[in-house]
Order: sequence, then C-alpha cells, then structure tokens
Amino acid sequence: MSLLVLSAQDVNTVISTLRPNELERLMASVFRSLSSRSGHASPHRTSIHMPQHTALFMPSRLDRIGTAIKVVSVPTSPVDMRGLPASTVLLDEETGRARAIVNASTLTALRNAAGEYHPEPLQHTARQCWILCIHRLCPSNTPPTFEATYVFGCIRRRKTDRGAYTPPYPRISLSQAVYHHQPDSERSSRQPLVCTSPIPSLDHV
Amino acid sequence: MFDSSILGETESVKSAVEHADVICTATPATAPLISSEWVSPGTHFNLVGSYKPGMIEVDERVIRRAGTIVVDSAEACPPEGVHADQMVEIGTLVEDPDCGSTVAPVSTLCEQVRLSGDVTVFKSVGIGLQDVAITHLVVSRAEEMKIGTVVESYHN
Repeated sequence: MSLLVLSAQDVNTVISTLRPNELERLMASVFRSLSSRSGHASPHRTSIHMPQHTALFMPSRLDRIGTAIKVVSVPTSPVDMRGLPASTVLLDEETGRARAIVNASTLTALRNAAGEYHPEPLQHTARQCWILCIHRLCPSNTPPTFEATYVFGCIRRRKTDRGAYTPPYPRISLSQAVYHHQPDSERSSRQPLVCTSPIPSLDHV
Repeated sequence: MFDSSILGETESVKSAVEHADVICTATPATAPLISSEWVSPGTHFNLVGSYKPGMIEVDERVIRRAGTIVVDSAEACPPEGVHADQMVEIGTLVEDPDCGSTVAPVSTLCEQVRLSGDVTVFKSVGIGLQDVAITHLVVSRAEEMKIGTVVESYHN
C-alpha cells in the first residue's frame, strides 16, 4: 500500500478546485458534530518545546470521515519570519495505516486565519467566518459581498516575501495602515467590512 | 487605550469602524483596538484572533452589547468575562447540510441570538475537527485528480 504526499503547491492546486458550497456544507457538518457531542474525538493538544519552536500535536477524529494529527511548529521568537510549518498525517480508516501526509500551512489558513496574517486568507476567513456567522444570523440566503477595509498595525511577511507588498486584488490600494478592497461585482447589498490584524513588534508596512 | 501608535491612522480606522457592517479581527492583541463607542448598532463581529486568556480583541463593552455571542466551541477560549449561558455554538444554528445543497440556518435560534443585543459577535478559535474534514476532502480530491507524490510500497 502506498502513501500520498501533498506539497504546499499540490494542496493549493486542489484547493483551487473546491467550491465554496462544498466547504460550507463540510464545515456545517463538522460544527453540528461538535455540538451534538457525538461522532468525534478531539483530545487536547500536546506541546513540546524545541530550541526555536513550540511544536503542537493536534489529534482528532470524525466518524465516517477519518482520523488525523496535525503538527504545527510555532516559532518562539516574535521576529522569526519563516512562517508556521504545519503538516497533517491522515490515517486510512480500514487499515489504520498512514494514507497521506499533507502540507497543512494553507489548510490552516483556509480553516481559520488566526495564525496567518496575509490579506488574502484574511479575506477568505472574513467570508468564511462562519459564512459570516450564518449571514449575520439572518435567514436570508443571499451570499454576502463586501466593501472591505483592512486595518493592519503591520503585516507579517514570509521570509520568501520580503519585497514590496503587492495587494492580491486589482482594486485594492494599500496605505500605511488602512487597506481598501472593493469587490468587482458591486451589488446593492454591499456590506462594508473592517478587518484588523496587528502583530506587535513585527516589521511595519 | 486606543493608542494611535498601535493602529497608525486612528481617525480613518474610527471612521471605517463607524461605517462598517462587519468587523473581522484577527489579532492576538492584549488590549482592545476598537472602542465600543465607534461601533454602530447592527454591526457584526467575527473575532478569530485571540486563542488564550489575556488576549483581548475588542472592547469588553462590545461583548456586553451582544448579549448572547456565537462560538465555534464552547469548550474553547471565550472572550474574557463571558459565561456559558451567554454563548451558543454555531453547530446548533445550522440545519443538517445533507438535506440541501446550501447551508440553512435554524431561523428561530438565530433570531433569538440576533435580538439579544444591538450587535452580534462570532468568536472562533478554530477546532481540530475542521482539520480532519478539510484534509480528508483535499486528499480524496487529490487522489481523483492524480495530484501529489505517491510513495509506493511505503507500508511494505
């Protein structure tokens, strides 16, 4: 039996094919499972201190989906710009063998931008969170669109990303601390959005 | 408390907050960056930054204004001063997605939460179960698309 290895690039390729509805339905079932207090296991994470990082080991299982452990190395130094290395091992339901090892950096951002300070995943999270708290606790099923203002104390850059910051959207302008995004498809139900992401003691834009 | 040296252009931030319908904070700050006074009634907050006690994303008055707040997991880290009876898990606010192609809200509960205050708040720390679900989806799709590196006979 083989093992599948998915690099960060592989993961990005796959993610680009996922439909928002697909992710939303998946997350809805995850949240329902959590709230039903059955059909899953999520023991508390374990951490180990390394010289430069704190390694977090996060095991969890969802019935009928699978069992996995994610390992994230959080830098201990606030000026460490090398990012948050993360990998997930997924087990085969039937054989118990490792089915895949997956670079989890992008997936973590897709799930929750808490540890990711680039505007693009933040934008994604803002859309996701969670489906804008179910469209702001309103039964309307109209997908929300935004005019967004991103507020940054500073932006954490990846080591590979030291050059001038280029906004990922054509109609975004970036000023020292305030960042505007106007969606291409303007609709009457425009919802201005503010995102904050200040990282104390990291390099300023 | 709302130090311009932290946020830079405080006035433009204040103005953006005043006109916002949705505010998403992804900050591990230990002091609030947005004052409750700047926040217009009806504003929705997504708080995804703080993940341990001592981290404060918004003015505690914002949390009080919300009445009941929505969380991903009641066992995870709630904003300071929020008790169990002031939280509702998002999993109780959605119908079983197997029944339809889009996610449907449980309308009555959603309305109760919305009417419990003049702003609404969703606090998310992210839960491990999301990792299993997304990883499983990505691996299954990668297998279908024949993407990735296969290590043959890894288990032999």
